[in-house]
Amino acid sequence: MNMLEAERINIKDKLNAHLSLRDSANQFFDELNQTNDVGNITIDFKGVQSISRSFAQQFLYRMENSDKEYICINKPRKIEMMFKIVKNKGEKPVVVNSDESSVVNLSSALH
Amino acid sequence: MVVYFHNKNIKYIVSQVKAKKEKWVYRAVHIQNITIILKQAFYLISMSSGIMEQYQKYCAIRDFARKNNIIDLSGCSFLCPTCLLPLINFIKNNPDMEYVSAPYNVEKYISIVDKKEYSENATYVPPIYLPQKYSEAEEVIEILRKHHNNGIDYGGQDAFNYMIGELIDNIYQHSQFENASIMAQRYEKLGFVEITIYDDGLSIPFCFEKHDISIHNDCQAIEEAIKGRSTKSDERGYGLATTTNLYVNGCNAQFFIVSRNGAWHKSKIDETFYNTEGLYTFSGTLVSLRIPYPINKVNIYDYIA
Repeated sequence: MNMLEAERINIKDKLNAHLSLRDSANQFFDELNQTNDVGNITIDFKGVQSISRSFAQQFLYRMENSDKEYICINKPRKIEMMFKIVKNKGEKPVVVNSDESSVVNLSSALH
Repeated sequence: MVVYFHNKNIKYIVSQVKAKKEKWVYRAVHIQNITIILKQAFYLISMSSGIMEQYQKYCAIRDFARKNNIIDLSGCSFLCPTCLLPLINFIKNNPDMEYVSAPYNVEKYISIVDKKEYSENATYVPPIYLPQKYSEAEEVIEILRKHHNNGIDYGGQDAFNYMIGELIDNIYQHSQFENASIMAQRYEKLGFVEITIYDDGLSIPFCFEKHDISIHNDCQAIEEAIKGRSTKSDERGYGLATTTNLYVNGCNAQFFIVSRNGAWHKSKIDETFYNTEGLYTFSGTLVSLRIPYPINKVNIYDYIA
């Protein structure tokens, strides 16, 4: 490959159509960083069906902290939305409403 | 053949047909109502054998086994993944204990599920063991997707893949497990599917302690984890918080977590923390979800933002 020619990688072929695990993003960038190409690397999202927040967060983190230049293409809308959510760093949802007074003590009910 | 009707007769026949039709429509609605009532009754019955009760059942069997060196399943009539998955691991870890079989049907079920075989029409997904190597985990997740039909009836593939990805990712990020597995059972008549994820790793409270994060008790540790407090950085910790929000508020599911001496059970209408110190303690973390089945596709972005 020409050193200045952009390399194009389909992330679905490299990993999966469903991007789930944080370390899969690490593994993906570890492999890319081993290449000696100087030119841009194009990451093609064609065929990707779902993405977890953890994967998206790690993917963006690794992309921003890399010496190489990456271009993402063919991002499905749901991938775009997940990247946007991660970049926005919104509040974590409040799911817990109880306080400690509502703790049921099972340890006292057994003997 | 041509049949002539008098106008009066036609009116009479039409009115009779209408009346009969109404009767049948009424009966159909009535049957539909009974079906809904029965479904609700089944659901209430299932609640009496709820996630917490299933976990307590496992603890009782484990306690008796430790005291008497006998794993006695003779009194087991209904085992859900919340009880069965840790039980299978307990049986495997204690091969020298005497084993008293469960009633015939339950024993048969256990032996089928434990064979790790899966057929297309099965309502169960046998225990699938997570590999120690993170890099091999994707293959296991792919098997889960296949077995669960990509979660199409569990809130859609986006929700299902999000949940599976985040919960399994948490295990690899934090638990340092020796054994971790996942299984599921679909109860079509009862209208829910139960998915349980087990690991014998550090536990949530110990993970905080290991990182010198001050926590008063194990219930608080679980609370902090659900709220999104991360041992890594502030930018992380969304996985559990968003998954519980997605499934409890988006899919009307029940969510149960037990880790060391604390447990948390949450549904849309109810929430309880439990101090599990003693008989109900758990070495590692057990996460169970009871998801209504079938459930339509949920827009995950309404719950994870």
